[in-house]
Amino acid sequence: MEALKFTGDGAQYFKIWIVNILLTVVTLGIYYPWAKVRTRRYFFGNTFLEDANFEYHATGKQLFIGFVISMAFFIAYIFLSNFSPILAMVLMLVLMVATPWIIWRSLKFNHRMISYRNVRFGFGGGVGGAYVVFAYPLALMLGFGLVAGLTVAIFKENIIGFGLVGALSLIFYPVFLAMYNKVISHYFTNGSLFGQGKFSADLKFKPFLMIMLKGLGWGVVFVLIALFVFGSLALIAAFFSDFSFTDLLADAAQKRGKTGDFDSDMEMSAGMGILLVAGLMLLYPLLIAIGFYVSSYLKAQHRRYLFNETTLDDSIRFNSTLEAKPLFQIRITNLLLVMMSAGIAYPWTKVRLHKYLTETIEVEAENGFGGYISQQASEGALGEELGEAFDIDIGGIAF
Amino acid sequence: MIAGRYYLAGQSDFSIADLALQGDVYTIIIASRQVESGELSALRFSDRLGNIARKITLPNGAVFETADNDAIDLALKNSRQTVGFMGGVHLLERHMGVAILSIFLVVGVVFSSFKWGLPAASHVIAHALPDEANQALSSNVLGFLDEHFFEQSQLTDIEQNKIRNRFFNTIVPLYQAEEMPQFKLHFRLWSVGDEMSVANAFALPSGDIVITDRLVQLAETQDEIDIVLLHEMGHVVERHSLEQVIEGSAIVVAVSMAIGDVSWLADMGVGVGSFLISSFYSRSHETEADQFAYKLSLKGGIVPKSLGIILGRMENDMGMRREDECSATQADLNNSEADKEESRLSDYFSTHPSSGERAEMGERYQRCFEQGLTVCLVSGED
Repeated sequence: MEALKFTGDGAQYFKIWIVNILLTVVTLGIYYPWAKVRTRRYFFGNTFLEDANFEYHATGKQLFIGFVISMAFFIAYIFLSNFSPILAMVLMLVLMVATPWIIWRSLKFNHRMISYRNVRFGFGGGVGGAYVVFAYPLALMLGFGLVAGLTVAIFKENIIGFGLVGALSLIFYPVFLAMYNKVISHYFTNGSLFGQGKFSADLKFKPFLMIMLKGLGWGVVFVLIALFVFGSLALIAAFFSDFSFTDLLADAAQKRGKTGDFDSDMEMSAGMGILLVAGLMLLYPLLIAIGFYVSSYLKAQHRRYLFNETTLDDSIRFNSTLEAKPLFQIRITNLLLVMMSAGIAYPWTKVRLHKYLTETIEVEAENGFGGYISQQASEGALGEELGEAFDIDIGGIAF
Repeated sequence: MIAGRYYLAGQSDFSIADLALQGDVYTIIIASRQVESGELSALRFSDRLGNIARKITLPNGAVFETADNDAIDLALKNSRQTVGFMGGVHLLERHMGVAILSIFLVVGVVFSSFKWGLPAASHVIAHALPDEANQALSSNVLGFLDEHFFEQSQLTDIEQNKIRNRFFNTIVPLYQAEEMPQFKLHFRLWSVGDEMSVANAFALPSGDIVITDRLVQLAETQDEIDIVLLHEMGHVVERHSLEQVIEGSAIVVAVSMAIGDVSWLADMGVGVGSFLISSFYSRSHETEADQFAYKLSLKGGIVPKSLGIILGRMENDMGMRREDECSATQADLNNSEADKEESRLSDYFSTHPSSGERAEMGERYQRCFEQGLTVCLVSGED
């Protein structure tokens, strides 16, 4: 097993990043696609496997076409929602129906734009598959809605009915997410190509469900603990402010020789307010941290399972050494760094995260990477660029 | 000699190779044997980016790859090949000084385009759009408000007609333009809770001006009503609603483009930011509408300070009521439905110019009025 290596460097990327922003701002956004290309080229170009690097090939001009189209849609939508909400909704609906097609196009385009050792990746999955991927969770959701509606109806809008629906949704939510992750990973992995080589993975629903149950379960436990601790703290605070806090203030007032007009009620509620705000200010970041941890856990576990099942032409195998804890630590400190530096630290944090995500990918190629040959794109270029228009980064799910 | 790898077109197998560039001729050498040779100008060099490996594509599709970026740059320089736009971008990226300067430039450009560029652009666009845009923007708004907020006015017909006649016969004609908006005047009762009634006036972009009963009751002179109506006419004439829509859209587009690359922004107060910006714009709109009202008031012999007086009285009216726990509404001369949503927040971030500034402008016009002038030159005005 050989791990990937990332040789990018925060200071170097910082300069690329800031020049990208400058040129994008100065050109009122027109430079944006070229900026995106430079960023992607930098990150792929610095990713190495066995002394050879990956490469990103799209040009600014190619992305610009998609960029113009997506901007036109976006601006049309914003304007329509002001002038004619119904037309805006129609536009949204059209876009929703087209989403799987757009994602499919985007996958085809983005895969082809990446190469390793002079050989292009590709995506061979059909457009029908993309619609199936979306139909699965949609059908699940509709089914759940139907069951929930029926339950409420049967119990004649009784509280028991609502309780049952609540319990059902607790079961439904992880099932839904697990199913979604499974179908999308399956479609993505089994459609991916490297030259003439095919990636394949035999993914099962059960492991996805177990990962999801464990991750969400931990999340619920953490949230309950946090709420319990803060709830008790708030109670204690309320208890003290009710008795000794006011007495203390009254005492202090007397010591200062003041009489009568001291409004201890007001002071008390002000004290309570401060405690409450302080409590919430502590609770809120804690909840964000819990969210980060759960998503880090899910990502690490998903990737481990997916990589274990994935092969390229049966001769090349993958492994992930990504762990939830370091990923969580990197993400949380990154957020703090970016916040404290007013955004300046963003390039360093991005490089840091990317380095960890990349270097935890291991590849074993028994027979090496020789003998692969780039395949000609079966489609014309027109339309492939359209896929890129909506900037959907579906690859982020697995890699 | 530049060391690197040589790939045949589209193949993953490579040979260790050297590239020799002499004058305008290139040569690929593998194991001391010359494999390819030709004109330098036929080669395609990838743009330099940091230190990522350089790819040089040969006319036959083969690729020579090298990490020796400096040698390639030197060779290109010597053969006087143009580096192109991206070469220039790389020069910018190489210097930390440029990067630091860029931070200030970015902040400066973003700040000034939001402060001056966007209002100017939205002004031009709003006035270039056909009137249909205004109509579309206000279609059904009054119907919606009638359904959810307003009741029939309880003013007598005589009172209503007095104000209406005065408005159409005296106030509207003060404004003369080629394209006159179709002004319409509506009286409504806006009550909150059982016994509270809100004093307010606002204009829809279509030219519909709504004035509430409470405002009419609060007004002690005809001038006060007149100048409030002039202020609302100002919003219509200056197409402020349309400008606001354009400004809002531009901000949304800009912010989502920023998020495309700077995703942490999504977590951090995009909402707060755009709210502050939009309140900044609506403040300048209020100042513009004030100015419009003051100018025409001089022309029509209406006492300019009436505006300050009636606004003050409206605020007091609400202030007194707020003690009765009535905080959801505010006596503002808002100009669009969306503003109503924000009025709760505007207790903290007023969408109106600070009363000091506003009063100052009123005083200047008041002095002109007392000197019997019909045109008042106020500094900072175009």
